[in-house]
Parts: sequence; structure tokens; C-alpha cells
Amino acid sequence: MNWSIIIQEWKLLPAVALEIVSSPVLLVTIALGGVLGMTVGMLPGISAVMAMSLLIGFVFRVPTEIGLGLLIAIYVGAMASGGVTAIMVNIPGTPAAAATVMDGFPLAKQGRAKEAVEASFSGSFMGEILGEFTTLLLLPFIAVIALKLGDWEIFLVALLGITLAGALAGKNPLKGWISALLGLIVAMVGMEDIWAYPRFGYTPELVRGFTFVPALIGLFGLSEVFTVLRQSRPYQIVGEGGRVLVNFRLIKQNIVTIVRSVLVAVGIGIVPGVGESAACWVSYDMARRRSKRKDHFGQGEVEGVIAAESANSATSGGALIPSLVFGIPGSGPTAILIAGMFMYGIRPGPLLMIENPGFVAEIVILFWLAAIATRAGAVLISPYFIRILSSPREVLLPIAGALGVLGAWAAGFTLFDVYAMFAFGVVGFILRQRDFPLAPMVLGILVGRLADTSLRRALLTYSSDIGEMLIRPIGMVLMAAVLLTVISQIRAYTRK
Amino acid sequence: MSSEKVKPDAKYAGELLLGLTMTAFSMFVIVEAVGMPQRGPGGLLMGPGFVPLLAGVVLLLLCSWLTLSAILKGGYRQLGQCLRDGVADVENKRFLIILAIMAIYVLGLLGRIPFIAATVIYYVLIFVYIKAGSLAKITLYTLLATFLFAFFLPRLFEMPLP
Amino acid sequence: MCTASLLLAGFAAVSAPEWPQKPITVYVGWTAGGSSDVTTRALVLEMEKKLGSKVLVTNIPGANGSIGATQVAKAPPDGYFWFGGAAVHGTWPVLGYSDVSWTDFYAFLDLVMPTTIYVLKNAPWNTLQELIADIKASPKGRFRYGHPGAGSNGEIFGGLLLETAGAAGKARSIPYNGGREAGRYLLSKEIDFASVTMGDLADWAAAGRIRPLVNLFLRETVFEGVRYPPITDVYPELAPYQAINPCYGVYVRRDTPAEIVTKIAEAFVYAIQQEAFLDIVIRERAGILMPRLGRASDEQMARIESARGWALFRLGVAPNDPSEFDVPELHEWSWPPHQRAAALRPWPEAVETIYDRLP
Repeated sequence: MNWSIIIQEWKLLPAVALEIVSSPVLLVTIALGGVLGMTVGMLPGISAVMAMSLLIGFVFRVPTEIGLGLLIAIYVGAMASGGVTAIMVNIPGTPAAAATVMDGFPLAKQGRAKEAVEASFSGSFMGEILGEFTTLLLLPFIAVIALKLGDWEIFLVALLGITLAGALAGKNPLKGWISALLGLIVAMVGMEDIWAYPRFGYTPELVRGFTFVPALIGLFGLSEVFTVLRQSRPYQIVGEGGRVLVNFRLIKQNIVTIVRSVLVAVGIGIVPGVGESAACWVSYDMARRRSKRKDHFGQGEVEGVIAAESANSATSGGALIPSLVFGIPGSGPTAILIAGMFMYGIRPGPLLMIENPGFVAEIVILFWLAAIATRAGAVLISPYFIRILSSPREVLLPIAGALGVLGAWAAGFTLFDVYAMFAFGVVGFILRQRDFPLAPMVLGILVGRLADTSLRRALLTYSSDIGEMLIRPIGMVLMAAVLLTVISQIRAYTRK
Repeated sequence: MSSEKVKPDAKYAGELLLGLTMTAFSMFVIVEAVGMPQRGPGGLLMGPGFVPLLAGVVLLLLCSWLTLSAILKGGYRQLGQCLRDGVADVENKRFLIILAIMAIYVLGLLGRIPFIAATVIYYVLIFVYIKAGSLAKITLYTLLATFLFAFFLPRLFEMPLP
Repeated sequence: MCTASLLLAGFAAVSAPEWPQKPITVYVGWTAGGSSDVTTRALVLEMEKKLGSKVLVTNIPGANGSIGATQVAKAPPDGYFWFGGAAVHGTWPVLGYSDVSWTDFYAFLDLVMPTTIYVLKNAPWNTLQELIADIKASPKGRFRYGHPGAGSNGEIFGGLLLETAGAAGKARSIPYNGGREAGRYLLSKEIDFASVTMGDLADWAAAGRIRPLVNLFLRETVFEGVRYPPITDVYPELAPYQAINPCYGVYVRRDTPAEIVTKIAEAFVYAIQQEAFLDIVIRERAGILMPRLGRASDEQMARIESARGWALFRLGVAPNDPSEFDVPELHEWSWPPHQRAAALRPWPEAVETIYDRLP
């Protein structure tokens, strides 16, 4: 990888942009995909990955740009609106939106839902635009760093993500970490990746293990249904609705937070499988530490929503380009995009930019257009979805429950997944009664397998000399970060 | 959040019960992890049981801390009251009924009768129980939600149904 | 109302003379985007043109494909449910995943992908013999090789090679999540060589970042200007072990009516000759077209059962002894390998004719 290839992509950018903008069919596709993605992203239990993988059969029947444009638009739309459900219903649709809940939901309860949604849309918009920009600018750097990351570093990033989420998501770091460990243990169930030993494999279904989506739906979605509906008079979202615009004044006020979050996210987003969901916690933590209104974080601080949303959007876009260059998918949605490319005769990997000059530029333009189309769509449909999501909880949450069942089923088309979702919902409800935050558990389930595999594989690879592993420089920085988080949290907790 | 609803004097009893349960769970995890085979040149270090064991031990430590501090704060004295409150609590009763409706839907109906029919039954039961509105409104919500999310959405994505 | 119309559709399908009357569903037992997924989708996209009916692909990953396959084995044998992906059915009983095995299906096999040893471009070894000699001369555990996962074709081939060379256990085996990931760690020098499916890293080889040392195949293959030397140049005795190479295809229940099986075979033969299919699986994924139907398909499935079943058991991955299922070892293999295979319902005569006429 060298700079000349990147410069070539930058030179091709305007021409590619012109070509795409002059195709009305493609523009309409992106707009439709954006709205579809937004709608899907707002339905609790239905995720972007699910929508993309179910539509992939359709995508292969249409021309390349249309198909990829549709997939990207759904992805961007769902990422943008994932924050909306987090804010208005307290159900994050992805683990990446879990940090958005922290300040978004309190804002909505205070009757400032529109403001929070606006902050979320503005933050994620800037995240998408700047994230792609930075990644394309720094691609050769990123390619070098990505190859320096070994199993040990991947494990440490996973550990850092879990530790931070555990410390930040609740009032008591002890309970946050217990929750994270429970998630980690859940992730251990099933066939492990090193020796193919079935851990806790008492039944054939358990040998396969728990898949992530049912756990996410159960812990975030169903537990919320139980928690709210058990009250005979549930809370209601009041306050004005209206059109949601990308608020440039808000962006200007928070530009430092946004740029910081984007840079952090692009850096962490490189780490495959972990980066996307850890980045929002790291950015949220940094925004909180730097803020003058530190104490307001967690009670409805607009800056918190912006930090979390700009970070998760910057990773989801930014993680894509490195995975295109290596041909190794880093997350569910990128895996589906890469599958789509293979079907179209485009081969992601080291030859991509040589065999298909302008293709990476095209992807970036598609992302940017999708980001714009999604926000334009939001202006049109936001008054309706804010009103729908403000409707009484007695109507909304039973529907969310049934959607969760459908979502858990669609994750693997087995009833075991639906039963697992139900069980996670009950466990999640009980833990919430005692103030255990659930976001760390979800993160633990998500990254547990990867953390386990990469730790033991690192030990296996370096078994003749573990010291060599411990002095790897990036690893040392990460270890220090983990230790500092743990020590400062325990000190703050015991002093209370 | 609902913990505000729990009477402050019974708070530590709940903490104690959950702490004990999780302590037992972490011990179970440790026992299972130790029983897993050791593989590779590093024995335990690289075997399947290493990370579960690690997670189990840290979980045991944290849960013991939680349990101990609940005991020190007098949690055991409130146990009786906590149970009495729990049985009398209206919200717990509501939770159990909603749980039962969910269980009928997920464990009882799914896979036995057509998905759409199961979903209609679920909606009617839960809307009626939580009094989501007048009978006409409930009918409307049920039909609309069933059409959109049990018929239209699966069709759109061409997916199989339970 | 909706239920009634669904029921009616069901009745129509039973009494209709012409199959297919409704869309066909294919359960792929692996995630979207992997080799099994892409090759199956490429195949059925062409098959549906000949069948005149839509073929919908659904991914049901888990337990090495057996979860999806077991569901297909339980579905009615009306030709509307297929399984798609790698031909590893014979390993499921040995692994204890499922009672379903290859004997429950007719396998329409289209592709095989050889297993390859890759090293970095600037690695000091130019041939397999040089690498082996270096491994033999080094202390145990100094060498590390990566492969696509525990019990994968890459791990079996790596182990087999070292054993044949008299260096068993001298190189440490490191499992990754797929051959592509093993390649990334080869580039970052955490491993010395990778034993993976050829197509996983063929583009890196074409880009000049890595080199193939040997290919588990009977003849030399050239892909995008890179030569892949065959294993028979060095170890001719390993030729039968080609059966560990991943094979792909689609599968229907063995009790599907003969006329439907024949129609599927016709569509299959049509599809594997289409340029769009060949572009994806041959020119991009570096697969090798090796269609098998009829007896030839059964024999291939049985050889895979022997080759992989025994290797998995020896590696400690599979808990069940293959001899419990009367599975012979590869070196004493002959048709029929066991009573279950001898008692199989044969393929329709028409399919054997179609297969004989293939070029």
C-alpha cells in the first residue's frame, strides 16, 4: 500500500461523484434505502445486519451500483436512527447505541426528545462525513497499524471496552463489572475457537452457543418492556415534536467533542470485531472528563449524546475501508457488503484499488450521499416518527415485545433463539431491579468470544516467550489504560 | 428506574439474595471450568477452561464483596420484610402476569399454531390486560401491528416463519 | 384469512403436476459472505433461470452447517427445501452434532477448492522440501503455522504433511477464524506459514505479497500468473487425501421423487456452464469446477466422510470414534464403505445419463 494509490483515489473522487449524482435511479435508490434503513433501525429488535442479510438475495438481482448503494443506504440509515429508539424508548438497537441512552433517554423524559434526536442526528452526520474523510486520508497509515495489531492487542482493546462500559454505564462500577463478567461467561457457552471444545455444551443448542442478537433483544428490549409495563401508570414522553434538522449551530458549539470522538473512533475502529462497540464508550468517557459540566453527564447532557453518536457513526463507516483493503470483514454489516461485492465480481483485498481504481472513492461517495439522504429523509418523516414513538407506552412496548420475538427468530430461524431471548429478558429485568446496568453485559456477550480466542491464541503463539508479548508497545499503552480505569474507579467508589 | 420503588430498608436484603445467587453461579462456573480438558503446550493457560475460570474467579470476588457489604449493612435482618413486601407488591403481580402472557406466546404458541394467529392472541391478551385503550382501539392496534410486523415485514424480507 | 390462503397454497403444491410451483428455499449452513454462502448463491442464481422459479437463500449458521441441514432433513421431501454449502455431512455424526449424514441427501457437487501452503514473499524457503528441512532442523515449537480453524482442511493438511515428512508435532498449529484471518497473521509475521484453502489467499499471492509452496491437488494449477505446485511432486502417497479439500454443492432429501431430482440435476448442469457462475466461483474464488452427480457424488461424499471423520477424531476435535459408524480409514476405502451406503436408494437413472454426458 502506498500513497500514490490513495492520491489516485482522491483524484478520481470528483469524477465518481459526478457520475453517481447524475444517475437518478441511484439517487432514488439511496433515498429509499436510507428511509428503509431508518425505519428498520427504529424498530426495536430489527437490526441493520438482519435487514441487509435478508435483502441480499434481492440485491444480487440488480446492477452493482444500485445494489451496493441500497445496502450502504440501509446501513447508514439504520445506524443514524438506532440512536432514536435509544433516546425515545430506552432500547438501544445496537451495542454501539448503548452510550447514547446514557444522556438521550433522560433528555427525552425531561420533554426534550426532539432536542436529543437532533443532537443524535447531527453528531452521527458529522461522524459519517468526517469518519470516511479521515479514513481515506490516513489509509496507508491505518493499513500499517492494522497489520501491527496482534491477538494480544485485540484482547486488550476488548478488555478496555468492557472495563470502561462497566465503569460508566451505572452508578456503581462493581455492579457494572459484575454485569460485564456475566456477559463474558454467557459468551463462553458453545464451541470455542481454539480446540473446538464445546464448553457448557449440555444440549446440541448449547454447543452452538448463544447468538448475539437474541441476547441483545432480550436484555435491552424485553427487560424494558417488563420494567415499564409493570407500573400501572408508566412514564410518558411529552414535549413538542416537529421536524428534525441537522443543527449546524449545535455542531459548531461541540466541534471539539466531535473531532475528538471521530479521531478516537477511527483509531479504535481499526480493531476488528471490537472497535465498533468500544469506541462510543471511550469517546463518551473522554467527553465527560473534558467537560466543565461533568456532573450533568448521565442526567441529560446534549454533549454526551453527540460524543457517543459521532463516535459510533465514524467507526461504522471508517471500519469499512480497511476491511475492504484487507478483504477481512470486521463486523456483521461489513461482512454482508463484502459478500455483495464478491457476487458483483469485485474482489475486496489487496488488489481492490489496483483492479478497480475509483471503487473505494465510489464507496465513500455512496456513504456521504447516504448520510445526506438519510438526514433529508429525516426532515420529512421525523414529525411522524417522533409522534409515533411518543405514543403511550401501553401501546408501544407490547409491539416492541412482539417485534423482539420476530427479531430473535430472524437471527437464526430457530426457536431456541427465541427462548434464549425470553430468558435474557427475565434475567435482565431482575438485574435491573437491583440497579445492575445491562450495557456492559451486552458488550461482554458481543466481544467475549473474540477476547477469549485472542488471549489464548496470543499465549499459544508466544508460548515460548511470554515476555516478548508483554513488551509490545501498543499493548503496553492499552494495558496502562485498563489499569488506570480500574484503579481510578475503585478509588472513587471506596471513597464514597 | 424501579429501584426507587423498593423501600429503602429492604434494599440490602434484595442485594443479599442476588449476591448469594451470583456467588453460587460463579462457583458453578469455576467448577465447570476446572473440569474442562487442558490442551496445548501451556496446559491450563491455553485450554478451553482458562478464560471461564478467570471470569469465574473475578466474578466470585466481586460478588462476595457485594454480598459481604450487604450483610454488614444489615441485609439479613430485612429478609423477612423484603419477602412480605415482594408478595404484596402490586407491581410484582403485574410483572408476573405480563411474564405469563409473554410465556404463553413464546413457549406455548410459537411453532404450534401459525405465527400470525399466535401474534394476534398475544396482542389481544396484553393490550386488554394493561388497558391500552377502548375495545375499538385495541382491535385497531392489534390488526395494524399484526399486519405490519407479522405479515408485511416478513413478506418484504422473504423470510420463513415459525 | 391469511392462514386459509397459506393452506390453499399448500394443497395446490401437493396436487400440482408440474414442479416447481412455488419458490424454493435453500438453507446455507454458514454465515453470509463466506465461501459456502457465495458459491451456493452463485449456483442457485443461475439454476432458478432454468427451473423458472425463485430460489431464496437463508443462512442458518452453526455447528459446522448441521443445524440448517437437520432442518432440511426434517422438511417434507417435496423438493422445495435444499441445503447448500460445504460437503462435510459425513463429519456430523462423528462430531456428535447431528444424526443426519450424507446418506440422507442427494448431493449435487459443483466445486472443489484445493488446500495450499503459503509463505511470505521474502521467506527463505523456495520449495516445500526446504521448509520441511528447516522445520526438522529447528527445536520443537519454533515454527508456527496458521489454519482456518480447529479441524479445518488446513489443520488436517498441515498435520498430515508434517507426519508424512517425519516431523510430526514439530510446528505448532494456531487456529484462526477462517483462512483470510490466518493470512492477515501471516502478513504480520505471527506465523511462519499458512495452511489454508487456496482461494482464501489467492489474491494476496497474485498481488505478490505471499507465495504458494504446495497445493493439495493432482496437477499443477495456475491462477492469475501464480503457479501452484501439486503435492504429488513431493509426496505422491498423499494423493488420496485430496478428499479433505472442501467441496461445495446443494443437497436435497434422499427420498425426493425421482422426476424432481432429475429436474434439479438438469438445472444444476445448466447453471455450472454459465459464465456468470464461472466468473464468481472460478475466476474470483479460485475454485476448480469438478461436477459430481449420481454414484460419483455418493463416492465423493463417502471419501470425505472417511478422510475428515478420522482426521477430526485423531486431532481430538471429534468425540465419537468413526469405527462406531463403520467408517473405514481412507487407505482401506472401497465402495460401498459400509452397510448404510450399500443400502442407499440409488440415484434416478436419468441423472446418471445426464452425468455421463457431461464433458
